[in-house]
Amino acid sequence: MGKAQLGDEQAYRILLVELGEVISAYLHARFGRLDFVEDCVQECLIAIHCARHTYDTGRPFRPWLFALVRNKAIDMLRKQQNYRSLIGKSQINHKLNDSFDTIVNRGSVFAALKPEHREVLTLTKIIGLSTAEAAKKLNVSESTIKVRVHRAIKASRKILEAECR
Amino acid sequence: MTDRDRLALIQSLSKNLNPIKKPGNILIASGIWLLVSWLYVIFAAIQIGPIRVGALQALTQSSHFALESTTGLMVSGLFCLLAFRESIPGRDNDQIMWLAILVAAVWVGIHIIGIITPALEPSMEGKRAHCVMEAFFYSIPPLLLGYSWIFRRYPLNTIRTGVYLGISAGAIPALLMQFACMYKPMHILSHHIAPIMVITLIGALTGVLFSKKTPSPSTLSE
Repeated sequence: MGKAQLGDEQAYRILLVELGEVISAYLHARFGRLDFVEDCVQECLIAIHCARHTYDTGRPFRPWLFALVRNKAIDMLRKQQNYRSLIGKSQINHKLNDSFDTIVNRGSVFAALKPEHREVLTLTKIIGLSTAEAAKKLNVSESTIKVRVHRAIKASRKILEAECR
Repeated sequence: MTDRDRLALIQSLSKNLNPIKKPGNILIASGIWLLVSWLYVIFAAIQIGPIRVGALQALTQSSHFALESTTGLMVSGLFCLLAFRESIPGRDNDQIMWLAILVAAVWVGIHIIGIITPALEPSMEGKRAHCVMEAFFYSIPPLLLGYSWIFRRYPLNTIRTGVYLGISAGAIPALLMQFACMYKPMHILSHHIAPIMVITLIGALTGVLFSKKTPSPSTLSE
């Protein structure tokens, strides 16, 4: 990163390729093999590029890197609403028939969440159901779904942060 | 997106890479902001009216008053440090945050206790006609200056950063009014310290406005 800060394109390219692999492995281990992981890797690379001036070469690289990655991962999870438009209705129905564990493929973050949090995140952020649809499926009110999603994302952030301590 | 997209992105990010200027030391940056803000607030307050007679001497005469002032100074300093630390990803701010919250609680607590046992004899001497507005408006320029400084870095939580900066910027005129306006703990709480809440809200809202919009890869390659 020190060389990249000095404008060394080659060193920067190598760094980003390597970081792409590291981030991809990190996110797959925590979120399973979800479709949004590759998007998230690229968002992280853009964030690294935009924030590269804030890295102090005298300090450890990992906390700086994973703070960015955690932030982007949670951001992506929160904003994960357009997924439904990208996949067909038949695929949604197919995914609804899968068990939650199959869908999230036992990512460590999802595994560490409470069952009701995992369930609501899977329905709204991964399968892409609307709040009303998720509420109907789980037989709860829409506000309950909103609260659970909020708490689930907060819990996911805490799980990721706790790993770094 | 695919691995090929990722490689294309990396190509575009590393193309025409310019050397970048590293941000300065956080302690120095926050110290300069604090100093400039204090000088500005003192200068602005003196333009409106004088410092209360005997206010500075009271610092040495009343330990209670000195404690009130010191904790206020610590509040602005600690929250300023927190705001600047937030602008660098990966810094662990938890301990400083809890310390800052504790000191802020002590600061407010001392004034609440002061309603029963005031540090100085409450009086209308030195009263300013519009101290609430002064406490509010004096903190706006430091807030904006801090924003322009901090958001050139990369705060990950812009709202939290805004809140910290808002508290710090609001605490400066609030503390100055301790010396420039009348001394009465209830008046200090309602007219000098309460505006900090409004400034904090403005700080949070500005944080929302400043929240990072990730540029698209095509923009980055230009």
